[in-house]
Amino acid sequence: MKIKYLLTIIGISLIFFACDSWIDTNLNIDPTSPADVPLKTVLPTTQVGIAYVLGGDVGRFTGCFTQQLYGWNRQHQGIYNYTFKEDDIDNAWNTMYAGPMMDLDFIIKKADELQSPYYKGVAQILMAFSLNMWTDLMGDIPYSDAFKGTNALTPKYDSQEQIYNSMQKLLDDAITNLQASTSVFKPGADDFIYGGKTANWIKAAYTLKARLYLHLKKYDDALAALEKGFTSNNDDMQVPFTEKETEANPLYQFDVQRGDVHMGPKLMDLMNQFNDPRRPFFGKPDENGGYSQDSPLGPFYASANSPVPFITYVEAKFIEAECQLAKGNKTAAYNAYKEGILASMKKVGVSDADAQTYWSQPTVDVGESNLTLENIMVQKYIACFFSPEVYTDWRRTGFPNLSPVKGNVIPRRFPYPQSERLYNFNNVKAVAPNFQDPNFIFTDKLWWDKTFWNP
Amino acid sequence: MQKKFIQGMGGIIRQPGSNEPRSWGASIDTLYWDLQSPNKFDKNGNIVGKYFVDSVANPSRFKKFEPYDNVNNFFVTGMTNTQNLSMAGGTDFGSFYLSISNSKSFGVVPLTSFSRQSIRFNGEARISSKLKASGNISYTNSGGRRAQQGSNISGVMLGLLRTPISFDNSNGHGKEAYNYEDAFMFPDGTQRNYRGGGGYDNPYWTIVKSPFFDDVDRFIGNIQLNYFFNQNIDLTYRLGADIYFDKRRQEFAINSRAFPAGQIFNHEIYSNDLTSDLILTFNYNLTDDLVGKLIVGNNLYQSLGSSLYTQGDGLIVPDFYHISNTTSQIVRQSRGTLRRLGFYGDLSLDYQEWLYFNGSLRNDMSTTLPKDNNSFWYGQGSVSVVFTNLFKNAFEGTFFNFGKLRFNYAIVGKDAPMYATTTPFIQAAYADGYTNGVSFPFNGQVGFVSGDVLGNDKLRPEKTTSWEIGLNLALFNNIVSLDLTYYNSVSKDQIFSVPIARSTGYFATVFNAGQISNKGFEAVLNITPLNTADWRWDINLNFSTNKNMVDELYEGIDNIFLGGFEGSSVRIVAGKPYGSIFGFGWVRDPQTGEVVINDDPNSEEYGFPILDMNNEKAFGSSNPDWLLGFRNSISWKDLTLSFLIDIKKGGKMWNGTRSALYYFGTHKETENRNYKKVFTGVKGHFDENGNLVVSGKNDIQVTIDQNWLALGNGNGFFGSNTEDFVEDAGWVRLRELSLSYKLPKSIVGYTPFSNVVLTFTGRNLWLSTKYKGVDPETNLMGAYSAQGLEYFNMPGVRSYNFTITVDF
Repeated sequence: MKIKYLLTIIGISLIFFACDSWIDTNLNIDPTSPADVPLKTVLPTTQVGIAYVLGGDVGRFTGCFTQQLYGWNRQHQGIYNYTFKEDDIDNAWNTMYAGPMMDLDFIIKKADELQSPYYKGVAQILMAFSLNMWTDLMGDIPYSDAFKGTNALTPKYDSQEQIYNSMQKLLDDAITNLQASTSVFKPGADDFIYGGKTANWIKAAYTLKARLYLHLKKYDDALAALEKGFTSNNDDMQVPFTEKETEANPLYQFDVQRGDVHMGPKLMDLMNQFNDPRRPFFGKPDENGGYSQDSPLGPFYASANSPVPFITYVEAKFIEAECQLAKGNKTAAYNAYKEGILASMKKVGVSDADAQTYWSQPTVDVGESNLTLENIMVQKYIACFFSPEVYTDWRRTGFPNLSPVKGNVIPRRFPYPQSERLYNFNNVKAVAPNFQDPNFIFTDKLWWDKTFWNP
Repeated sequence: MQKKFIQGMGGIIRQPGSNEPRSWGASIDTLYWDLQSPNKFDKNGNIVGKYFVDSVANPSRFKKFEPYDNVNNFFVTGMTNTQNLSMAGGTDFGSFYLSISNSKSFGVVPLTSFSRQSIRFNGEARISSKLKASGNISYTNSGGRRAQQGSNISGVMLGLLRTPISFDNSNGHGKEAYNYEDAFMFPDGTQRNYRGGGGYDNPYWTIVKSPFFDDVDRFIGNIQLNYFFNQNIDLTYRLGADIYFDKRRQEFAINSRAFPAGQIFNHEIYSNDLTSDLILTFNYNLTDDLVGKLIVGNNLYQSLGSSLYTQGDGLIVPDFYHISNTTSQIVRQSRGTLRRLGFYGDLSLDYQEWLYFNGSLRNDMSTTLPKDNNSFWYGQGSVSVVFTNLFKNAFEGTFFNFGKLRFNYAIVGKDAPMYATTTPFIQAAYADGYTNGVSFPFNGQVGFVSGDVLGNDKLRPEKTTSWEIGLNLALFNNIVSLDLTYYNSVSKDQIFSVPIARSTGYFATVFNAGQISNKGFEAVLNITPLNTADWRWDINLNFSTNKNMVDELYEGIDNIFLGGFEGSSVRIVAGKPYGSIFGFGWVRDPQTGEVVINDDPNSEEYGFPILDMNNEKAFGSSNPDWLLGFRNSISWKDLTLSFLIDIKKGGKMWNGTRSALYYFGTHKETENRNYKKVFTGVKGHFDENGNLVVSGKNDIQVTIDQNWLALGNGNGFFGSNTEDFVEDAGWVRLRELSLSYKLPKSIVGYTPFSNVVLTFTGRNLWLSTKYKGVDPETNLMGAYSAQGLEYFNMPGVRSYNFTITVDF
């Protein structure tokens, strides 16, 4: 009886270890993380991820350099005073490359397999947008060798010229893909930007193409692209955020949780000069009831549900004005300039009457024959508040006139991120031998900067 | 903490509750409270300077400014109360043991508490002469209410140590402030803190409005059956379980700085570990001289875990903490199972009680390794010689009572962490280091991103090879005993999560990445100089030293990041000890090694050391040179006095608290400000080509003030200076002092007890360390591998215990 009891126990344990299934390596596959997922669950994360970086770190940092924002405390006080370190940009870079850009690369490849050119087209436009954001801050960046995991542990860098070619190619391919007659899977509610409307995406692709052409002074190409670009504020490429705390706009979160940034002195000066009715939308009154660098951020860009714009109809009109002016077409330039300003007023929510009052000032409505590049760039600087494009515009044209807040030069680029120095040193060194020089961000001009604008 | 300068910059007065974070303001010598101005942050009104006081008609209406002592006000005396009750009994058939214990502690941070109740039962039954069954089970419930700590804008120490002396966190309530809402909150529900509602939480807010609760139920038990076939062979089966359920809850009230809209989370963790052992033992006297023992066994291990995390953000009804009372919700789930299977044999031989041999071999399989690599071997062999038995004649009758020489060689394998072989998709969330960020589901859409850690399906098991040699001696009638050990171990194919360039699309990948070696020496000396009927004196010395080295990292890997903060990090780098502290330090003259002082008169840093921002340097590791414990215990009749002195020589720690408090201007060392100094070093600068030009001993006098300490590289919070804040974290401490008295029988006889012992114990009564801050026996990253970082850690606690033990 006792022996039987014992044998039973031994028997049970023998069954245990005799059984091969005890060491089942499938147990090492995480049951709460899927090995594969549908495209519709990846696309929305890429859009929100890019928007969080663009409307967060990148927007705040470029805003500090262009004095649209004033960093008055802690890290942002340093950045405002050009103490901009490699680890300041690490988070944005890491988030984008290992996050949305990696996932867009996944969609682009996976969409072929799934015969879904619409997803591919949308992902290509977002990839081009992401590359545009980085290359205009960093110059040479990894792309052709990126996103390969262990197959390229230290991705080499593409020159900025190559990146510009890659972006145009991505956008051309995207337009072709979005014009395909059919797509097995089609973006819908998972596309926060356009709800899957391919026509809108095609317009966005053309508008982005125009921005890139403008950077290289290709005015005719830019104007041709704009013909098929945005036609109203409703076309704007932007990502919505919501009132929910975990879905709230990045600038709002920064303002409420940190609050180290106020409205910038240069922007406030210009808007005060023009008696700009957009001031209470962009900022809030300071302690004296006026608008200055003590003004907190305002409701239009820093509410929980403020969308983050990627590229807008307003910007398209200013691109058009700049191109037409460069070609000597003053009438067309003037009309685009006016439309850009009025569209911005409308978008922000200024009444038609107030917009008209603003426009009719002689400092704004300078008359067709007097219109200068500075007029256009100053109005674009205001209308495109918080867009990193403003930093590119200033580097290209020198407008508006900015005085350095410290020393006698304003940085002309961002430093390479710490993670690239630590884990991809040789490739960074290969394209920027002096990237560790303390003056690197002040002296190093990007390819388009030194080739086309400031030789 | 400095007690001379108030909130402000540049020596000016900023009123309490202004948004200025720093204490580089006016000196208190000249300051008064005006007692008149309405100031919602202080009952004394506004702070005014002496010039103003002298200029008014009635200067006596002002009150001289006295600094507030926020730190002293904050902490309270902790208290622990413990009761234990145990009983045991037995018969020929079996025996049992039962114990119950209850303890409740109140922490030095007000409102924090921890309690623990446990029951334990052991039983044994002799079912027959051949079969014995035994088992034990214990149940423990523990948990309490805790405060936020470490780096987090609700961290108690951050808010506390940054508060200027001109702001009273307690609002006049002193030590009782946590009982008064007006200390930390205004009637409209907004927060009263020194930053006027911005910055960091008032520490009283944190402890009252943002508590963390945990509640853990834990069962540990095993059953065992022994069957004795005969006097030589027996079989043992043992099944053990360790099961716990950990329920955690965090509340953040509306207007908390970390979560201004309020937040609640519930985190429920379940863990179930089972171990099964089947062991067959053979004991034989092979000859008269040779005794042999053979064990063959099987071991099964399974660890099963799951967790459910539910977070709600944006409270609707204030102070009502329920997920349904929030505007957005996030749920995170995880679960997993790990299993191991092992077979082993172990042979011991004992020859004439002077030669001992032991050898064992084991094979393990694990589910965490790729199928082709998931079986690995262990083995070990040891020989020891008791030479006092071998040469019995030579030693008998001498002072040399016992001597043994031993040698051991072993190979040990280890499997990988779970889920390291694949790269799945994970739920999407984005943040930027300043904000709490966004997470999916978002706007009604489910969202996934590819995982950040690239899995590796070619992982191999880790393998550690070691040898050890030792000597055990007992001398002078066992008055002196000495154990000496030297060991040397090499671990190959160590599995690390290795950071890689993010342009690969991943943050890290898992590799068999390197080789680490440890060499060390340990000595234990026990001496009993006195041992008489009334007196006994025991001395115990325990010495150890270990040299750790990362011998190599495999190709393509330069360094592995373990943890870091504010530009200072702990890394694994080949040729340095594991976990070296890295950060930026001063440019040094390559010839002399002296710090280079900037001699460019146009530079803002003229006369100050130049920071080398190009390369992080290693500033040592937290590994100590050696450790020594020295225990003395002296008894006279029923009275026993004992103490333990611990010495840790060397070992570095990054003092992140000091590096930040220079910026905030509240550190004690910033009390001495606006003084002249000539930095030690050589003069130099970088020329146009970036070459260092050095020109002799520095003689440039500079002023040390906020420009260097708060706004320059004099601090490591706003600046990037790590070098000045890596400190020697060695110590000498009186770890324990205890005095106990066993009541004599003559007194106990009048009580119902058989035995009564009174004990007084003090812990950490005395500490001597060069470290400038809290007790260096703390670590930012807790018990994780990134040792050596300190950033607003909770201070160590000195404790006194009084215990009464009674036996029935």
